[in-house]
Amino acid sequence: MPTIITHSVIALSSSYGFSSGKESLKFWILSIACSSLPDADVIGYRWLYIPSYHFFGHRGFFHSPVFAALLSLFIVCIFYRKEVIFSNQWWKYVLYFFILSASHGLLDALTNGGNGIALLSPITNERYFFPWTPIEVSPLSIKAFFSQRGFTVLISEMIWIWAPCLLFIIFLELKRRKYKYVKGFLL
Amino acid sequence: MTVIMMKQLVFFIVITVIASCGQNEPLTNYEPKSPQEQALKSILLDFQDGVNTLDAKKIESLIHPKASLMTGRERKTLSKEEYVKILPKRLAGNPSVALGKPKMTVSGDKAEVKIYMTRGNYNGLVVYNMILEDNKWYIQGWKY
Repeated sequence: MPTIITHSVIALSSSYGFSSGKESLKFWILSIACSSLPDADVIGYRWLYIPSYHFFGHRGFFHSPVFAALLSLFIVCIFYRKEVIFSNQWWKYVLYFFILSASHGLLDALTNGGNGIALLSPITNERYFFPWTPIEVSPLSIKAFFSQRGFTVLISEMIWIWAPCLLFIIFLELKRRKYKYVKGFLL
Repeated sequence: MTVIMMKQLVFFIVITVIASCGQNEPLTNYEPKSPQEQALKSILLDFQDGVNTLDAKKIESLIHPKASLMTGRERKTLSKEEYVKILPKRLAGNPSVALGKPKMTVSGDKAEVKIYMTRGNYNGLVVYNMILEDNKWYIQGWKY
């Protein structure tokens, strides 16, 4: 998996893209939680003797788009109760949290180690990687993370994830400023 | 609402950190609940010893002839014959092993042992399938 830090970077840059500037702290926290939550299956792997190849194992069902859909619906139904169900804004939130949650499994499928991802779960527990896996897989143990290995992983994530996220934010910022400038000029 | 969510997030982070620490209790501390479990524990201790003393013959003697064994990061499954060929090289190239607290399920002449293994930077769950033949337990396979 990429590290939780990097999943949070994805969440923050996506939040920046989605946010109209009026979103509350709740929105940002939920974005980070949503992008990191699939890795909660590590608890089963490290404590409950659930092997990684099990349906509920690490990178199993909880990393699938189906779980992402369930999670996004749950989040919107619980934390955005004031939104009218099936309204445009409601669907925007559902889609946004779905993309964020699903991004976790897709990013993991770009890593070069560990089990593949059960992207088609619950239809099949088969594990998949993308044909191209440029991201160094992060160790699960904290001890290993604070070693040379962890440093290598972070560098790899900076190149393949953080940098594109930063470019995305810069692009959005420039676009917004240009829009403000044009709007100001026309009015 | 935000305060409650912050608490939930902190709780989630704490749980994840605790979970990441994993199972650190060594296999030697495990108290077997039956003679079968005692025998299985001995096999695993022998396996651990064989890996750490680079004793390929000792490991080979613990494995059933029809075993299927997962190896490497690619998780390829090999037969005993194939595994034994690469074993000395694998032993020389990999760090020592420490097995943790197991969870054993014995059912007649078969058993499943889930056990945490630390090997260098790797710390994960390995599932051993065991078989009883001629009053002796053998490793029939392992997966991770």
